[in-house]
Amino acid sequence: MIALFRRIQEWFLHLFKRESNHETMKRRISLYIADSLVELDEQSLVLFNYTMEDLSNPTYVKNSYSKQITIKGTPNNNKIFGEFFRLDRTIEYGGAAGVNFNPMQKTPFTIFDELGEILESGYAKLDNVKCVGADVEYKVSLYGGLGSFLYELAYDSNGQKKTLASLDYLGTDNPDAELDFTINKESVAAAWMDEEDRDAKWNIINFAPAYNGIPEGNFASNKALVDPAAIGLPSSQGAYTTKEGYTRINLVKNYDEWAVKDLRSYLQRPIFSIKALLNAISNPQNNGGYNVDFSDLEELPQRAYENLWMTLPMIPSLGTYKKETGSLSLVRDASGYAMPYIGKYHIEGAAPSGAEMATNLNVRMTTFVPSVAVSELYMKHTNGASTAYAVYFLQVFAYDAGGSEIGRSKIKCVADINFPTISPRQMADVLKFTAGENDAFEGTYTNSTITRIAGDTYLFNNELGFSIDAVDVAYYQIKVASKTALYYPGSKTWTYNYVEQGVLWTPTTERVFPREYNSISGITPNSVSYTSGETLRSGASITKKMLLSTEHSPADYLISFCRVFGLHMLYDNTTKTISIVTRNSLYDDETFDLTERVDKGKGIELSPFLFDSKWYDFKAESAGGRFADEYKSIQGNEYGIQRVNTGYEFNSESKNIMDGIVYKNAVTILDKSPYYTSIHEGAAFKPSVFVDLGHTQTLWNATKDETQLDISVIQSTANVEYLNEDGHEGYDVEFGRKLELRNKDNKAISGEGVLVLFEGFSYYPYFNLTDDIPAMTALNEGTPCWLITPGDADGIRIPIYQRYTYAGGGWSIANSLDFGVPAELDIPGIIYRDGATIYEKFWQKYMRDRYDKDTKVMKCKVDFKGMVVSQELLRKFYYYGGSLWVLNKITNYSLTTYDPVECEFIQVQDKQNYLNGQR
Amino acid sequence: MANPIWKDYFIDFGDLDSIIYRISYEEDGEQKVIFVGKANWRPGTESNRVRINDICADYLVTRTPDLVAEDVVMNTYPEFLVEIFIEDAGVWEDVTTVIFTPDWSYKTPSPLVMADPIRKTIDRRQTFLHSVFLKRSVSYTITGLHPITRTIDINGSGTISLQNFPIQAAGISIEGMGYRLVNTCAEWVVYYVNAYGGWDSLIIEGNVTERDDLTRHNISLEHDNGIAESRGKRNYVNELTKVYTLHTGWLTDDESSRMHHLLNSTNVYLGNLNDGRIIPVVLTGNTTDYKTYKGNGNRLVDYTIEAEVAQYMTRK
Repeated sequence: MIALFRRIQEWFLHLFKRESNHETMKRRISLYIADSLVELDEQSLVLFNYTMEDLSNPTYVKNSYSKQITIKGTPNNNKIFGEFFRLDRTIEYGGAAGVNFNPMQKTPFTIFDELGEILESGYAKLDNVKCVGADVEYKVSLYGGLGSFLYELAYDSNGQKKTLASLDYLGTDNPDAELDFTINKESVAAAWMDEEDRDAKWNIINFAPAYNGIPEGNFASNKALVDPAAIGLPSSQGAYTTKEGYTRINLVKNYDEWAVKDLRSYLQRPIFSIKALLNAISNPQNNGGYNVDFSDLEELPQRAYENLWMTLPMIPSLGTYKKETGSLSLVRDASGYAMPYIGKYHIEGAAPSGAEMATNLNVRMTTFVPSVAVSELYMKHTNGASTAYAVYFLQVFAYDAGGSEIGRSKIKCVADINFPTISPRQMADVLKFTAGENDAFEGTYTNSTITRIAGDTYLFNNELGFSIDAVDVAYYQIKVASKTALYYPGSKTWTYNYVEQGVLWTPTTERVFPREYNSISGITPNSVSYTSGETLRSGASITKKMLLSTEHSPADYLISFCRVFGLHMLYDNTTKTISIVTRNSLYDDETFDLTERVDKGKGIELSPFLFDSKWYDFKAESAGGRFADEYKSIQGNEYGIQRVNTGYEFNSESKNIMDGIVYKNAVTILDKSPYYTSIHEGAAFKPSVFVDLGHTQTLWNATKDETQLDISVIQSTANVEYLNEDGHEGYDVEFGRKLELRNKDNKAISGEGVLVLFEGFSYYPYFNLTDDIPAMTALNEGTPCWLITPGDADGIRIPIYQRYTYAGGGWSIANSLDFGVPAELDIPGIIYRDGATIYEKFWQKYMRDRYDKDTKVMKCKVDFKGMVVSQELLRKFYYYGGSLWVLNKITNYSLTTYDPVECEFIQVQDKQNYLNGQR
Repeated sequence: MANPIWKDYFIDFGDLDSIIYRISYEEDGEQKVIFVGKANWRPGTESNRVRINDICADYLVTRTPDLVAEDVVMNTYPEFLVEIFIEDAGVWEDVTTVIFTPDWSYKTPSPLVMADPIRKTIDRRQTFLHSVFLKRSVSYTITGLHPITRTIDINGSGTISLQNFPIQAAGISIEGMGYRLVNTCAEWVVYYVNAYGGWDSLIIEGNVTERDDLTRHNISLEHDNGIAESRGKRNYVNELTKVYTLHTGWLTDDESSRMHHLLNSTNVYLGNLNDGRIIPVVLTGNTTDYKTYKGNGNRLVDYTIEAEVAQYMTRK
């Protein structure tokens, strides 16, 4: 009976063993984690997933990844993961593998096949470890290289989010300062030179004239200075005359720069080159060591690669716009200070001039006692009738670059008793402590413990936190002063021994006071941040960090760029190369026959290509603006939107498939106003704003009294020439179409993140490119205002950056950054050509092929024997059942068995829509 | 004094609470750190202690000698250095050094003898193996009509493999242990790492059977039923697992008591005495019976061992 039972038991065991052996590892792959060969269990199925696109949103970027794999805890594997399963394990330094393995960091992996070819590479993530008795199992997920590449572009080694300022653009010795400049008319003029003539940094950043509206903040847009003789106004009247060669014009209302023909240097919209971004991203030093191939983009229509720029925040907003914390740090100097100073710190990182630094500094004081005997230090010492207490005063001072004191913290008092403090002024008198009139104590800290830490150095118990605010700080110093107070318990009286003394030490009978102090950094992290209350003006130093400390990371900008233009990222394992390709290049005109590869026995699942919304919208977030807002209120949709009717009749919802892109939409217009003129009365040039009634002119006498003279309105006999010479009188220069970044009240909007195209130069007669001048201090109470002294009749040449490029002599839009054709334009006489929009050029044919009512999704198991299964298979066409298909997804492809693979195919209506769908 | 690796070995950090420690050993002239941990004081105990034998076990390496030629391989049984981190001074301070033997016998005291053969018989065609622990040199004598004594310098721990014995040799005497050289009809010998971490061998005197376990992989395809060679179902790959079943032959109670060295081993090779093939195998048995004559109905005992070839085979 027992024998029969055993036989039945063995039969079951045998049956179970056969079942479990069904998917055993027979292919020889080698998995290396951090260059260490992993011992893979025969049951460790390495299953990889490859996806071309998310069918619910074709713009999402997909990375290959593995199903979680199990790695057995062999001695070799335990070493790779640094014996992670041991509960008391700690990381000494942090690194890739072994005792330094850090599960919080991405650990590189590579999988080789039998021939030594790389099947996959990327980074591994340890998900968890399971211990059952002596059996240890590591659960690990593997991610393809694309994710690692994007991570490198998004976060630095400290886990801080990268910004555009984090990238090295020019390869100079000092990348942090490579784009720094002083904002003035010379810088702007240099930036507006031809590309081949200008400094390299102006190919990274530049300035785009735009309709920015009336300047806000510290700017008097209803005032102007002018040499009166230049515009036919009197230079004097009686005892009143000009000052510094100018009269002040008190304008009847606020005007913008285009009305007064005064392009102020710091009011020009900074822009950033997308080409420079892509070039920087392709630099292995910026991306974690990857090769990046953008060569396919040279074929991209619309010059999207070469001439694409993105708007940045206006310079006056930078000061108040930024509040830096992560990019600034306090660094302790090893030397450069001496008693009574016991620590010196400087700020690492750039801050705008005029910035008020808010700093929190945390330290602990140390003291050094010359080695006489083994002794302990005390904060108090009883000797006869009195007890002596050591009392310390510490304060942090801020200094500017010239070494002048510019700020101070509150004073901290350390003693072993609630010491009755004297006033800071008293203390200053006695201890030569430079306490100011307004200095105050910040309490008394009791400290009864002092610990010997090394040699004869003692560490005070208290960690002291100092807060200090000061403007334009170069460095900080900590100052210490000490005194001794004697307390007589019998009489309950205090006497103060106002000499510089310190902590007592025993067991000597005589008191000896240590005189050497220092400090060490506290445990609480230091912090430094700034807010700049003043808006930045002419002459301000603009740093790369100020201008490019963007909200989004380089990875965000790259991904959004690919999403907008229907580009794909490919990763080559063997060469560690990321290629950004158009859809035309993505698909190879090669078709594989699946007739003898699809496993019919495992079933084939067919479904219609269903959407989840009636409408798919292609739209970017609107930056706003007068016409953009009007358009939306009238048309009900954003300017430049493309709506696609998917034919899905089960709801009427809309879905923005460009949701989440970082680029914004704005409107290109040609502005119209009464001031786009050049007016002469006789030989005298007249500012165009003088067509309005009510302006006055200010002159001054010797005692600085003012007189106001009325300015007569322009006579009807004056010679008026319109800037627009193409029949659209009252409009801006015809081909000077620009972004509208102002609201209906002609106030500026933030307007950053808008993609624009460079479209040549235009000339603006009598316009000037200017800076603030010192006369504004004397004549307009220090507030910047317009300068309306006319420029040359030839004018100045300004670059044109906006959302279109033109054909037909400039009268038709040939390439547009709009997704769809707007219902109306705010540009007179312009034609929107067919096929000009992003949707038409990059998406339309492809989307139509997908939306076709006959397009199906097929899921089945395929035998890929003899073929290398990788992302590359997603770039081919497949024939099955009389139809053409593309492979959209490979699910759980086993790198270790020969089993057929689960695949998802999308039916193709016309192969040309894939191969030549982008124009 | 070396410590058996199976026996718990604690490092006592005294009254140091929450101390960072690390373990290292010297490799190629450099100190290689194998583990960094933080030791916390267990409540209710008198001092802060950590157990390190388990950590060090993976670093005791018994190398495989050449099983078909004369050879000496050195094993790695290093001296482990335990240090603690002095946080205030920022330096590592030595605590102690420890030497372990790869002894999984669970016997006290550790014998420091690495050979414990089941039968002490050597077929003339096989390779003789003997392992030593921390020796400067090893002398052995080939006994018989004209005994020959030789010495091998070893300077450490290692395994000596010997071949091609003189025809008149009767046995080998080594470190006080005598082996008998025999002529057998056996086809197979098993080489294995015993519980002490040394290499021993056992001649398989009973029957040996061989079989292949198959796993077939099929696929169903489109086919043209008008063409004879067109297949709707295809067997595209077969996986093979080769299994040997070994019968040891009769064993005495004394010999049987040492079978655990083989049956519990994680490192076993099959050697073919006729053609010299060496086949790495994995034993599949899940139990080790300590059989005796009395317990077996007053009959001599034997063992049946199932061994899977440790290499994969497929046919496409």
